[in-house]
Amino acid sequence: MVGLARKAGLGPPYETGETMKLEPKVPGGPLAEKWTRYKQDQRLINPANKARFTVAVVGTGLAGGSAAATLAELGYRVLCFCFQDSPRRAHSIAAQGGINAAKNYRNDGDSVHRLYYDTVKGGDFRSREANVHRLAEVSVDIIDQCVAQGVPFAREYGGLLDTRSFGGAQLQRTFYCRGQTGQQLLLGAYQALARQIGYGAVKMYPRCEMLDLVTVDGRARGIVTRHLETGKVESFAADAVVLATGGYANAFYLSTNANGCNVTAAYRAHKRGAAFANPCFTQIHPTCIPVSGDHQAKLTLMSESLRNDGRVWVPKSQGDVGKHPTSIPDAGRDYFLERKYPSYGNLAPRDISSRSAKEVCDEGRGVGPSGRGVYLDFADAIRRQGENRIREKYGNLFEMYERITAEDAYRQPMRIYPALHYTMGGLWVDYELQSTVPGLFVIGEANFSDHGANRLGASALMQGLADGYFVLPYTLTNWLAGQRPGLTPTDHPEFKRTEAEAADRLKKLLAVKGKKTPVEFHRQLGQVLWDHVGMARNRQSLETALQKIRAIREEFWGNVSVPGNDLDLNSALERANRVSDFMEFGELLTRDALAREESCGAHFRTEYQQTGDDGNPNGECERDDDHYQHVAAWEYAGPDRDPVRHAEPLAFEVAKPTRRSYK
Amino acid sequence: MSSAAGPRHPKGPPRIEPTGRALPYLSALLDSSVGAKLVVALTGLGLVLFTAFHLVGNLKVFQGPAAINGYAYFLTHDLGILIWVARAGLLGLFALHVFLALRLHSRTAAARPVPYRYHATVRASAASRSMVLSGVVVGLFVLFHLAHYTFGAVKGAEVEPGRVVNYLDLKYRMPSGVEVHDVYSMVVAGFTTPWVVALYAAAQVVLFVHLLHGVQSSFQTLGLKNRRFAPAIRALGFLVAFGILAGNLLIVFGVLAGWAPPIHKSA
Amino acid sequence: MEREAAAETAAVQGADPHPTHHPMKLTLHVWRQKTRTAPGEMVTYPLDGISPEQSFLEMLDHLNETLIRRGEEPVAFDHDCREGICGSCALMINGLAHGPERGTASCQLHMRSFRDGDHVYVEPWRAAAFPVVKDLATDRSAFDRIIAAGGFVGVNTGGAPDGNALPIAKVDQDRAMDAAACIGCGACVAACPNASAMLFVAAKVSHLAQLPQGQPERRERAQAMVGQHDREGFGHCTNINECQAACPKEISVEHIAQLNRDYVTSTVSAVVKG
Repeated sequence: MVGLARKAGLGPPYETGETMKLEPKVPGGPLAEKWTRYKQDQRLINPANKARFTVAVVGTGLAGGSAAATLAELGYRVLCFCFQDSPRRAHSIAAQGGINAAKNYRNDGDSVHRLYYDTVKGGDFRSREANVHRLAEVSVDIIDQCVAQGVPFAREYGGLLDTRSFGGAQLQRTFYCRGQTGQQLLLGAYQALARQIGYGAVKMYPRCEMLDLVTVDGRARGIVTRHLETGKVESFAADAVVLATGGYANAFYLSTNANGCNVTAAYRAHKRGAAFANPCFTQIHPTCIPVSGDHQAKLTLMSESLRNDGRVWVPKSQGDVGKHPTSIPDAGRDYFLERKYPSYGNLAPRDISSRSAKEVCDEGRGVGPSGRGVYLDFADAIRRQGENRIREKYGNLFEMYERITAEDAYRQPMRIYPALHYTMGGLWVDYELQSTVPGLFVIGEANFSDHGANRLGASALMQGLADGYFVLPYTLTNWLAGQRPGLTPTDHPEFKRTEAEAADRLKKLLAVKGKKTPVEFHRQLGQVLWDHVGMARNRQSLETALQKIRAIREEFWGNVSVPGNDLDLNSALERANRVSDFMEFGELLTRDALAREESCGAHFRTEYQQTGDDGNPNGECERDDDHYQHVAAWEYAGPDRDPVRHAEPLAFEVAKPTRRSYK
Repeated sequence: MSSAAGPRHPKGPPRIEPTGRALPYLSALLDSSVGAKLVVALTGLGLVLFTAFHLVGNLKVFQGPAAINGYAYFLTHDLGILIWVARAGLLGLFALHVFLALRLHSRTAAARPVPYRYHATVRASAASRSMVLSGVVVGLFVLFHLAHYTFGAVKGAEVEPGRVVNYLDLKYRMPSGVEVHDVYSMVVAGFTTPWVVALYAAAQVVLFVHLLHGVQSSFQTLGLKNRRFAPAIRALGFLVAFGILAGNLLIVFGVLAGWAPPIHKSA
Repeated sequence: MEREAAAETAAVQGADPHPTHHPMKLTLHVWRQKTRTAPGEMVTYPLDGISPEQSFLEMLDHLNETLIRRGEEPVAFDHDCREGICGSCALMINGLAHGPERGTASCQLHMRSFRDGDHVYVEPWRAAAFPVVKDLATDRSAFDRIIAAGGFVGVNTGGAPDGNALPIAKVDQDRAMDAAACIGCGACVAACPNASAMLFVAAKVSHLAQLPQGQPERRERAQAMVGQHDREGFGHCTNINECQAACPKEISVEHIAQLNRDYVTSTVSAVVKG
């Protein structure tokens, strides 16, 4: 299946012009039976033999943590890596809202099929149907597993699990732990992992960042890491490598992701032969606290639930922008979501709300010091329901808002603005979650498979845990059963070569000794991506972006300043190394957005909009199923060559693609 | 540093084996910080109880010589062997309390080898942070107190001008005709001496500070404190500490004020 | 009510809704230490152009950018999510863990909590069990080992009963959630005059003690976690309660009482049952 990578042997996989073949390996049979059949037919490994296989898991978020723990429980030798100082700190911890599961505890008509259908439709028919159905099936087991681990899900007075609706879903299928669902689920996985570490079944390497993937004869054989404290660049051999390294939203510099989130592991694996799928599918969250100045290092997300009671508006005229919001009468306010989308109003989907906010700000009607913000007003809700009720519902969010902005949202409207939040794209994987490099598996946000062009709220946690607890342990076993156990010695020339390349790159960064800090370059890159490859894209903006990114990259390698050395904790070096990958990756992202000449889900090309009743473009995505109902998987072709775009056609047997309308 | 590197500090209790014998189990229990703390709390409460009884007994000084001397005679004579059991128990409580507390303290002293350059606290009360200091002062005072009244080794009582008698040689004839040790005169002799009064009063204040944190802290350590009763327990702790302070100071200053007149004319 | 609102509106009308803030100048005193074994010292950095809108960590970013431009090594400090949930950030600011605001992690602290011209002392957590890795970054892996000693429910993946099989009283679930909110930052240790991690241990023990799923291992858990806590070289708890004041999640010391309770019952059970 990876003729190219395999043929290349010792050398990098871009020496031949041969085309990469994408085999999704979806099992036969009706959609609802595929996963059951797969499990029935899969190969097994007897318990005693499992210990002869070593699996390297990179990342300890929901996907990585749950996978490492589960694989160790099964009996594999597991090596686990994270760049944080503890596996408990992975960014999954910051998820607030909840986790979906088709439990139908509410008796409101939920089912595996409905969850599957909503997810496929939410993804605007750009995800792989079989993967999504499997996700919906195992969602049920996730809740049971987490409860058994002691995750304190919210409960009703009768003692049963509570659920709420989320992100405009018509069903109450979201399980939650106050506003800290991600934290509690991650701690559950972390504790399961800690248990295996205590037993010696998992060898944990914190503060250890993956720098490269080692392939021998086209197969993943291990990884090269840098210990962030000692600076030691080291190789680890494994029978299989699992990447659970999260998304790449930080390519945009300002995002709701943790500061350390990066694309390095995934991108370097891409350079070693793993196809990168749909990088242009980036989700923007409408309710974040606006940027307050250049100093800002990240954006803070506020739960979308706020939109249930808040009304979004900006002044009708530019002249009112600087005025105090409470002094602007109703007649002077433009409740633009209610105006444009009367039936959904303030609850319009994430991408539509975000784009509308951008439009009014582009018109010069944005509020706040930066002019990039819209009001989210609770005055009506407070009048109707009373301040206490609002405090009860959103007290912690209002407090968080006040902590950051020093403004009291009970007295004046909040200011919100969209921000990068999640990335649906990722390394291409087949049904078994294996990338185009044999032996390299990719799970969680790092892969592309389940969310298509847009992710539904409360589905990220579900996917991470589904992959780690219930999918990978099966599919990895199936694959390993066909392999002969045994590690490639880390003094193999391919290990040595990869290690040397990774170390050289660090030395190169240190040697530039320029004038600008890595963060300055990162901010510059982010600005370009946000301005030109952000919420609304078009051919012209994307082409501009490509040029600008190249220019930044060129300047970077001639003018970046990285003080210190590579022998101890050097945050500037870490950042520079990550930024260097973000810059290359940003180009790929832009290229993908350029090549996808349609609008779908979060990918909005202004050239491709539906036409409204008035004959004008109405801001709705115009999908082009005839030409783009496929996954775009990019193959790395070498440092000086354009990457090659491959397509995996998507077929929908059960859910038939429909046009979305939120009017 | 890999998290599998194992403990860097070999100190601390050995892992408890479920099938282990009693002795290793108990020693591991006392070796653990919570186990040791439990014993410190229990012994502390025992000592508080003793102090309270001690106070009640000594208040008899205001009932006159017959009452307190009779009580003392009852304790030392009528109880027979029991008083020695009690004394041994008390000594045991005291020794355990002091030994475990000091051992915990010495271990904890190593827990922060490099101090902060800038020091501040939010909530920590002075009483809670000075338990070892106040404890040591009270402990030293107890030794002094024993030397003073139990062993009569500090000073004598001036029964007549110029005639100083060792405390232990003071005698009192009970209405029943039995001659007993004159505890009353001993107490009066002690607490009419200004420096002794000052010393005792100061020690009582330190004891108050110790108990102010100690009593309520014992409840927390024994797991008997919760959201609902926390204020009540704090109040109880204060009442106990204050009651003991007030009672003891009453004896010291009451005697000084002449509420318990001397039997022997001394001036 | 309405009149009040109207009066308020009138009062603020015409006022700038988002007043601009003047940049501040601070004098920072930061602990610099090259490696675990190297000697460290407080180094003074005057820093201006600080916006009150900045978070404390963004202020440190600002310092680091300045240092990097000068070709000096940036100050190392742990940070990640910057929204107070990952527990990475760990700064002793003017002698207080996570700084002067209550219920706040260092990353959520904003510079408006300081005044122009202030001297600010920034130190790493100080505890034998948290050795300094570099500058303000410490090694808190002791916490991971404490969790590995027993801070989990020992269930493997698969075979879990239905989530609703065991009803849990809401009050128990709420209490479990209160304890489970711990982010493992280590502020309790940093603030404790005894450098004790008892609040951290207690939060996990109490979280699992409230839930039926935590019962089978409840007794061993308390003993095992306290044992590991001691072996790591943390001090003992003397109920000073400074930890509760420092905790960014405001976890109550009543969970320490719960831990102690479990320790007592587990001891009694071991003594009685053998």
